[in-house]
Amino acid sequence: MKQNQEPIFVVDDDQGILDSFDAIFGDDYPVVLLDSGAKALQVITEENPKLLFLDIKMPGLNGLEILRWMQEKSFSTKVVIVTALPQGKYEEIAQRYGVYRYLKKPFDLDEVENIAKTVLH
Amino acid sequence: VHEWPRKISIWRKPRYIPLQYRFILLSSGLVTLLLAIVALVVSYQQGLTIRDHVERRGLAIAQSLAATSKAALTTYNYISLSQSANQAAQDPDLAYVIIHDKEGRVAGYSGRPELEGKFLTDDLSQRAVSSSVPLVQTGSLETTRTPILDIAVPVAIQGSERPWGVVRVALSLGPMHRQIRQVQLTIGGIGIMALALAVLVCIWLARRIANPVSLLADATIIAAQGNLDQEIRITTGDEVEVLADNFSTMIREILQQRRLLERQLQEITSLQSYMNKLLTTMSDGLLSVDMEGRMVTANPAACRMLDVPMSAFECGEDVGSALKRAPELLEYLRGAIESPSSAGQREIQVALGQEVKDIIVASSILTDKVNDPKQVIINLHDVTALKKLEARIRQTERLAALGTLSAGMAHEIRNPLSAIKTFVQLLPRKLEKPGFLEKFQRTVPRELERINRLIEDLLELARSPKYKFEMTDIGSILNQALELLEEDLLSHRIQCRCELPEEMPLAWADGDQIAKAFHNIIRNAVQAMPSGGVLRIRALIGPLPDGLPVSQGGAQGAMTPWLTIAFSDTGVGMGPEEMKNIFNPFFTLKDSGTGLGLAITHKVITEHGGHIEVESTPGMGACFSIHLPLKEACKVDRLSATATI
Repeated sequence: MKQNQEPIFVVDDDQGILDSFDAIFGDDYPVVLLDSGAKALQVITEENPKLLFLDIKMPGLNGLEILRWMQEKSFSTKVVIVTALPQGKYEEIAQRYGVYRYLKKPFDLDEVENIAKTVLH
Repeated sequence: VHEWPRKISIWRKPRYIPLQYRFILLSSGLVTLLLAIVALVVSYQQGLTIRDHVERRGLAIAQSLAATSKAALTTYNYISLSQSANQAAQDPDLAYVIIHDKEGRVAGYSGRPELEGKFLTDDLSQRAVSSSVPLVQTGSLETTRTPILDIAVPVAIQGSERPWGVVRVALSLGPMHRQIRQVQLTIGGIGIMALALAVLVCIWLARRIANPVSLLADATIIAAQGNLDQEIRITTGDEVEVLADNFSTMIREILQQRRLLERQLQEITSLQSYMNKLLTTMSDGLLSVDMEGRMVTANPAACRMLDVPMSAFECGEDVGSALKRAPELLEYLRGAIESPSSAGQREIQVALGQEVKDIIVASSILTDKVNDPKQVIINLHDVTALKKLEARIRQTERLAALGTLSAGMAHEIRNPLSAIKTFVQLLPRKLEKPGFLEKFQRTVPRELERINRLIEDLLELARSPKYKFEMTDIGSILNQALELLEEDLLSHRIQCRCELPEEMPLAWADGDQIAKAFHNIIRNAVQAMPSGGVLRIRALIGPLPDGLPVSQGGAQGAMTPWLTIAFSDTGVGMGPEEMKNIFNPFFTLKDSGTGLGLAITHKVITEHGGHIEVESTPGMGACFSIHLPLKEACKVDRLSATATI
């Protein structure tokens, strides 16, 4: 089953978050964990992912910059922003850049699983 | 001082007579006098000449008669003598002809035959008969009272001592007098004509001379009345022209000076009104007080500020009573009066009922010509509103800082919280799955520890300073910090170059805190060089670099030596915006860490009375410099102290 599934991409500089996504989806989907924006750009270009969980606050390239870049390059990827930043303004910016969903940490397990099901099935 | 008018006024106040008339009067008088003298002299001379001429004629007649009567006299021939007398008397100019004989009797009398042989008793005849030389006498006819000239000539006979008789001829002086009057009239007529001519010449001359002067005088009168804008043209080619030219120049200059003065006056007036406006409209209060402590001026703003009616600040009022509600201001003012130069700027409070005003007072001194203080001018600047605004801004800033801190904290807590939540939620479902429990045990405690460390760091940052200060060997603390991080340095392939003086000084510091600060900086450098590099640590002793303030924590003077430790890496570096925020809590450029490390380092160094600085260029690495004050001069070689980083 896992081999036939589309992979889920996760970009976050926090090891705990990467570990969490691995724990959630690792058994059912191939999970690509990326710990920096620079790595994300390369992988996204190569793989054109269907579903991408993206953190905002990262050293170097941040999540919103990646999102804008993806919009400019017209990727069909469904991007789910997962951030710990409390400020509402980032959500507005993300909406403008065509975000699929905007989740705040700590996110709900069911919500994340539903998104994956909806997007990938 | 002009003495001359006073002298004249003491003597006599001269009447105003125009120069022209004075000249005419004087010269005419002189000419008249001259002409009168000439006329008198000439007419007198003429009179004399005429009289002399008459005398000679009479004498000639008498002598010729005497010559012809000689024979008749010696013979006493009265008839012949009487005939001769009557014949001679036919000349109309002769009043009478008398011939006396040797004894003095009348021998012949023209027209009077009844007197023959008689003696004449009148004085004239007596003197004539008794004279032995020709005698000329004046007298008048007894009958007609006509003036006559009586000429008596004695008839001398040779050989006889006594004369043989006297021949008397009387010439009527009427014609002579008429002639003399005629001459006088002629001279008088010529004289009057000459006088008239002379007066005319005088008038012309007077006009010629006095006209320019009176023109000039008119000009001076006009000028004296204030009209200086006039041109005086006098071309007489003499002193008057020079006078007029100089007068013109003078009034021109006066005019220029007056215009200048008017302009300056206008400027002064406008400046004054500008100043008055300024004083009235300015929001700062202004009081001026003389050196005896009496009010001079106060502007409306000062009255408003001190809530005192304008009347209390009237000129001459005692300051003590005017300012009794503002004792602090009064005290400042008295200080300023006592020592004007030492009163600087001060912030005072004035209580007006419920309201307390914060006022900044400053003073300046108004001095007179010899630099003696005359007035103290007090400037009052109401900063009450400003202070309130400042307080509001500070409050806002505090809230904003709290907001930033909270946001940073939220971010830092929510990441580990997400991981913990996820694993906890997965636990019932995936407990049986192979490997899950290992992952759980690896992740959850780690994330919990992160939260705990964050809280500890926060507490550390917020902790009030509680240090154990002692003379601390900074060199060994630095080495210990490097030893602790040795593994990190090795794993990141970082080469560490430590350039410390042989003998590092002791500093008045809390060793544990300084160790923490060093640890944070070195760890920061390690994380800035993920793919290896060089960490260079240098220390030197010297004066504090320019631009850094001597902070109160260490209470060190500018001469105290400072220990500077510089940590430079070859990492990613940062831009100006990042440099500005690098010591702010939760500001982080790294993958791991809470973003509180450098904030804590900053706090520790600052609380040691030191400074921490950062210099960096993106991509070129960064250099953190710590400056710590040294309590006393150390033993380190002075040469290294003067070296620059």
